Amino acid sequence: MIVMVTAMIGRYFMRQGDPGGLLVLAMAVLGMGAMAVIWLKRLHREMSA
Amino acid sequence: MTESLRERLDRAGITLVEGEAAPAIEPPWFVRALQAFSGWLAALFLLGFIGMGMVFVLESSVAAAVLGLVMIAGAYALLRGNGGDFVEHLALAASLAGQLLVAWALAHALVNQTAGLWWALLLLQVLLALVMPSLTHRALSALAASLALYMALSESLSAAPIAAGLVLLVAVALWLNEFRWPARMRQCQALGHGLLLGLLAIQMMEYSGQSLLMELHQDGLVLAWLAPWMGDALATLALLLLLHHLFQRHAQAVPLRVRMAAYGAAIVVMLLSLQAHGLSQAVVVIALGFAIGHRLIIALGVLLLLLATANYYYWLEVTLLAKSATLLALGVLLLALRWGLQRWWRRGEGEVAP
Repeated sequence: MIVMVTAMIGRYFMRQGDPGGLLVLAMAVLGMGAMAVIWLKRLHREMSA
Repeated sequence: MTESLRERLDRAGITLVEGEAAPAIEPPWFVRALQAFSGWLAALFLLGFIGMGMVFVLESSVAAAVLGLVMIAGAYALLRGNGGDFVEHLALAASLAGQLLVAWALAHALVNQTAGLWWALLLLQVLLALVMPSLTHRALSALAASLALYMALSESLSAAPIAAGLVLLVAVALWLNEFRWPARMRQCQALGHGLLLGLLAIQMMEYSGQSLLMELHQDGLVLAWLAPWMGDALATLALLLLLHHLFQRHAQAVPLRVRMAAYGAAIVVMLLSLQAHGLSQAVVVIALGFAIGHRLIIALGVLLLLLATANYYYWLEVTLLAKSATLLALGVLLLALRWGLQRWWRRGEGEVAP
């Protein structure tokens, strides 16, 4: 899902050729990765309990 | 601590001290892998942004080095703050982008000294693996340091196969001493994981035949000629170290005959490795995984063993008949060893048990 959303955002920004698009992509990857990690940690905690 | 765990501990006869702090649950390996993946991806995008939007930074090696070091220092400060998952991600990405900028600057500064560049990168990665307050970062830096060592030995001494033996030796020493310093146990484990992944990457580079312009450096040096055997000799040293450690730990339980058989098996593996390079490394990793009860390391060792066997099979300098005969002899020998060890272990247990 992270790869798909990143590809969609990248497709939109890369058309414009703006370097700021890469910064947006980096922030999007970081945000989605952090959310996925929070979810996985919560799941792991529930399974370990 | 959850109620169910408290009940389970009570049933097991373990009494808890009132007010005892709840133990922290460490993130599992797949969470760390996800963190590393997104960190790398974000670092590449950040670097692309710097490359496209701030071209002047890449044009000047001093500016690139300064910006890279500032990004690494910022990442260190963020990781020390322990500000949660998002901050850890941000710091990881910033550090990776900073490392790439420093590497870019070093490549410009040492344009005619490729070996010097790889030694400098090795120093940087070792430093980061030792000081960065993040387990993921330590593991990644250990992996990068392994690859830098491989390239440095390849470029300076044409002795790249020694790198695998050295990395394995350090990894075995770390894993055998992981409980020596309880406060630093997680750091030791992170470094151990990074080094073993680095070993896998080194072996894959060796086997794929793309040892990065290795052919250019085959200049007839004795060290270059001896390097594959030196790598296997270092792996055998690691195996002997592992056996010695195990026999010291279980001094009463292992009879002398079994010890001699184990040392004999180590010599047999070394002799086989003279022909099939990389076999001894795989055996050491599998034995290490069994010794410390770590299934992930056992799986890594099995993967290394498969790679070594496949590499030997596709080794074009030996005829198919010789390959088949050696594999047959290896198979028969291993089956005989298994049968013999099973008999000896059972007999040994019978003697030890009252």
